[in-house]
Amino acid sequence: MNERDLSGKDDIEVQNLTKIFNGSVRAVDGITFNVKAGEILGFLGPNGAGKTTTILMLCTLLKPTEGTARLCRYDIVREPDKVRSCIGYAPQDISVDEDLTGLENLKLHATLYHMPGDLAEERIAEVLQLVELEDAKDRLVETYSGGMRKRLEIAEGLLHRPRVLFLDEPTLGLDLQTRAHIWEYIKRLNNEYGVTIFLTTHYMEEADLLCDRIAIMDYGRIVCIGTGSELKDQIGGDVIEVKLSETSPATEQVVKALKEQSFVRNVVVSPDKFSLNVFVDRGETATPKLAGFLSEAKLITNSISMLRPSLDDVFLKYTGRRIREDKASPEEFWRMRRALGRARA
Amino acid sequence: MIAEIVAISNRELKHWYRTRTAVFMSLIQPLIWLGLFGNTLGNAPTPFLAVLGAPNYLSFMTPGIVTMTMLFGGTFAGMSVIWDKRFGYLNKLLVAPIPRTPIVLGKMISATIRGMIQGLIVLAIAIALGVTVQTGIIGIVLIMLITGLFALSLASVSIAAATSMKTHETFFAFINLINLPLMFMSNALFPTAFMPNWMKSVASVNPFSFCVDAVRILTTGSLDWGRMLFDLEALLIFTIITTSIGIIVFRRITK
Repeated sequence: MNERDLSGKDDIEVQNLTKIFNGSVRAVDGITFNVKAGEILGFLGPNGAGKTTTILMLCTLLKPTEGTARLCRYDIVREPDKVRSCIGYAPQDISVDEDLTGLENLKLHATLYHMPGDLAEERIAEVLQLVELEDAKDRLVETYSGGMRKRLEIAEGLLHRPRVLFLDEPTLGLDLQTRAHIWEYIKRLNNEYGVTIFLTTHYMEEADLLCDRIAIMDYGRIVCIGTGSELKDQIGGDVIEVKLSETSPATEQVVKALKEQSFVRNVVVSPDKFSLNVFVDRGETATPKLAGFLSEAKLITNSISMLRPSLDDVFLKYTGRRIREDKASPEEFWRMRRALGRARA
Repeated sequence: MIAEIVAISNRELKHWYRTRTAVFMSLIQPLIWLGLFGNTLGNAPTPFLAVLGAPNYLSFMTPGIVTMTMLFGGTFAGMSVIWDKRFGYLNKLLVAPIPRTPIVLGKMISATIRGMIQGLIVLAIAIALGVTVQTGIIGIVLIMLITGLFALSLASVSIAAATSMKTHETFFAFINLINLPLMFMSNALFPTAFMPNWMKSVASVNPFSFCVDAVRILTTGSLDWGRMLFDLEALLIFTIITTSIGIIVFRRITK
C-alpha cells in the first residue's frame, strides 16, 4: 500500500489471546497476530465481534483469561506499567473532559505522562497544530463539535509520542467530511512519526483506505488477515458486468466460447439474458480483452463495468453474513452509544 | 506522585467551582438548617437550653451543621468516579503510566478541600449570625483541620463504594442510606442525653459525634483537652482505616 519499510521488529505480538466473560461468553476467542513497527493494522468486524475487548486487553485495561500479548516487547500482564508508557489510546467513546478547555485537557495529559513543563508546552503546540485546534484551545470542550472532540482525543493519544497508538473506532458517529479529515490525520501520523497504529472499525472503506493490513473479526475470532487486495483476491479476482442491448440466439454460443478464454474464470448470465457477469483474475487487463472479444463476436453492448469485490464480499465469504452498516443519524447514534455506555459501565 | 495528585485534584476542583450553581446549592442546605431549625429551637423553653451547655441553640447546632456540610461534601466524592467510569475518562487515567494510588488520592483530597471551603463559609455565616468561637482564629483553623479529616474519611468511603457500583441510582441510594443515620444518630442536633439507650450507644461510636464534639469544644463547650485528644484519636483511626480501604478497593478493582 505504501513504500515504508515494514520489515522491522514487531511492536505487537499476540498469542492465543482469549477473554471469557461470565464464565461462558468467549468475547475474544484465541486470536493470534503480529503488528510490525510502523504498520497500520485494522480490525474490521460488526458490533460485538470482540474488537474493543481486544483493544482493552492490549491497553492493559482488561486482563486476558488466556493467552498473552507483548507490546514493544513488554508483557501486557506482567509489565503493564512498561506497556502503558509506550502506548497511546483513543477510546471509542469520546472521553475528553467536557468541563475543561482543550488546553487544560492536554496539560493534564502531559502531567500524567511525566512530561517536563517546556517539553509539554512544545508538544501541546505541535499536536494542537496537527489537529487544527489552536484557535479553540481555550474554549471549554463542551462547546466543541463531535469532530473537534475526536480530534482532541487523538491529539491526547499522540501527545507523549507513543510507539503504538490504539484507535477504537476513530470515526464512529461522525459525518463524512469529518471522517475524511480524521483519516488524513491518521495517515499523516503514521507517515511523519512512524507510529504503529492498531485501529478497529466497522466501516469497510475506512479499513480499505487506512490500513496496511486488515483482520476481519467475527464472534471473537480472526476469520482472515491480510492486505486489502490479498483479502479481495481470495474472492476470485474481479467481476466484469456486461450489459447487452439485445438478446440473440447467438449469445449462448458466445458465452460458451468466452468461458474457454484463458483470462476468464467463469461467466454467469442473468436470468433476463441482458447482462453477463464475467469473473476474471485481474479486471484491469481483462476488460480490454473482453471488449475486443465481444465486438468480434458481434454482440452489441450497452456498457462494460468492472466491479471490485468489496471487503463485505470477503466478510460474506467467511461468515455467510454481511457486516451491518450503521445507518443511524449522528444524533440517534450518540443516543444509542450513551445507552450502551450505561450498560457497559 | 505529588504532581499527579495535584493535577487530578485540580481537575476535580475546576469541575466544582466552574459550576457556580452547584457551589451555591451546596451551601443552601446548611443555611436552611441554621436559619430555620436554629431559629425555631431558639425559642425553646429555658430548661432545654440549659441542657445544651451552650449560650443558645444556634451555637449548639453550628458544630453539627459544619460537620454535616463536610459529611455531604465527603460522601459526594464518589460521584466523580461514577461519572469518569460512565464517560470513559477513568480508562484514560488508568491507561496512563502512573500508579493507581495518586488517582484515588487526588479525588479524595479534592473532595476534602471542597468540603473545607464549604464548611468555612457555613462557619463564617454562623459567626455573622452571632455564634462565637471561643478559641478564636486558631480555633477556626483547628476546626477546619478536624472537619477536613472527617471529610477525607467519608470521601474514602464514598469512593470505595462508587468504585464498586455501576449507576448513579445505586450510588445515591447508598449516600442517603449512610448520610441521614450518621447525622441523626449523633450529637449534632440534640444532646445524646435525650436519646434512648440503644441510640446513645450508636451515637457514642459514631465518627460524626467525635467530629462534632471536637468542634463543639473549640466553639462553646468547656475546654476539655483530654476529651478533645480522644475525639481526634478516634477520628484519626477512622480516617486511616477508611482511606486505606478506599485506596485498596480502588486499586483492586482497577488493577
